Amino acid sequence: MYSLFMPAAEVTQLVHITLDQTLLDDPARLQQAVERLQGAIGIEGSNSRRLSKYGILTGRIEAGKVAAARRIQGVVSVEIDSARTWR
Amino acid sequence: MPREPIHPPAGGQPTHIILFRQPGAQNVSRLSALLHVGEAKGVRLRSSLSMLDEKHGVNPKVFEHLAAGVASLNEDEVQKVLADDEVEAVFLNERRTLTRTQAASASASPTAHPPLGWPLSLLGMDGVPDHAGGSGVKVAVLDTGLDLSHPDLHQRVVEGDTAVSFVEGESVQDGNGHGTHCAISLCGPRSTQGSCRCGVAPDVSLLAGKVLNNAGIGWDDQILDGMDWAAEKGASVIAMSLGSRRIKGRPFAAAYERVASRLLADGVLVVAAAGNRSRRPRAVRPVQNPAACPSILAVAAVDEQRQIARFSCGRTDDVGEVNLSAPGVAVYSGWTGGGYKKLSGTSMAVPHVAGVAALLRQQHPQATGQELWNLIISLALPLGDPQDFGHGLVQLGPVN
Repeated sequence: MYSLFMPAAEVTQLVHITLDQTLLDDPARLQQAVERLQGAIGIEGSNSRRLSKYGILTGRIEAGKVAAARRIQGVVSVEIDSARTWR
Repeated sequence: MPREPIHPPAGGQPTHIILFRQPGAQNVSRLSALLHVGEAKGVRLRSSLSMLDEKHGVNPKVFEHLAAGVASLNEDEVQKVLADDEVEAVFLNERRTLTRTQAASASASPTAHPPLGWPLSLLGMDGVPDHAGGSGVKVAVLDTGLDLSHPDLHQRVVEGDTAVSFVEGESVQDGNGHGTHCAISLCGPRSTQGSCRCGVAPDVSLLAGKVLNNAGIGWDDQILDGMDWAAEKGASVIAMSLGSRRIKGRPFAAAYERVASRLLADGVLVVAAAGNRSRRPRAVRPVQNPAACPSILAVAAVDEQRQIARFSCGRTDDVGEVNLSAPGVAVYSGWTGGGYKKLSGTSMAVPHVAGVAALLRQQHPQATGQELWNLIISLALPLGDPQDFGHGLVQLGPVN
């Protein structure tokens, strides 16, 4: 359970990383981008269909690595999984 | 983050859900102060993410995301909370007790040809022939599920095939009512037990994706999966009466835009609610996400007199524009338990646009997604300031 007293490094967040759309046309480059992300921020994708069809890598990363993810080549956007409602 | 739905505290006073006007950590201390939590008496707060402390120091992320809390309140405490300017609503955490709704009784048997509800008349549906009902067109409603036993939805979906839940631990059965209301506005039958016909496109093939839990809350991960599922099932239109606050000047949701733009290229129109956070005329709030995405049709709400609804979000920056308006005030439609209710919200406007889009798709089966988008925009009846109304009131136009 999330706690304010938990060290930041142990807190992970589900994120949706939108990759450069041109990568969708080149599976090899898409894979390279994913590997760069895995190496840099330790993300493990949890939705291969979303990645291959839309170029969105979804997975958990440590909370402190969101900013670093945004600086990685081929990354368009990093968004934390958020709540939506009909209200 | 953990993803349990809000669980009411056990015992004590009735559980209420408190909705604040603005998300943010200040809601914790505001609620604590209002309820004198430190001193009183069995008041317990929880969130969907973690149980909150009874005093200050609770996890602020909860309110930043949800602008909501749950507390066991007596009637005096409910009134005290409601009186606060920053509180939008307080309602019992149980089914069919939402605020701003009016119950309407159902007659015993279906009426063969009930009159059109005013929203359908506003769309230009008087005199539309029966063959123009959306036959052959699939439309997905991504919401709180469906009341599978509602007479207006009888045999419309097959659970596990055309009705699927993306909410862990909850079936597609609607424990909220919102999804049922939207679905029946979209495709309720011509003959109904209600007092008027409320379904725009009664002959469409309905797809129901439950992406919001029975408390009305869902997560991007579920919703994005729901959009993809709907497209895979062949939906031509996806109705999403959902969203979350977007601060003025902040970007649209990139992941939703990626999915919606791909779907639009594949011929699928995604329609979403502009949001209900305005307090007109005093304050107009920006179009929420995901409606702010350029490839998603953002829908504002108007009343029976074609006036903008006081709660309807508008264009306040260069990011989120309103595309269309549709009836969304005191809209009569089906509700869980087989009944009917009037609800207000841009949520209610969305199925009207989705229904018209389905009828247009039926007439123009070869049109691309962008052509369908352009057509529905071109048919709209201008009502006033595009910042509020977009291109205007959605219209069916001439039917062959």
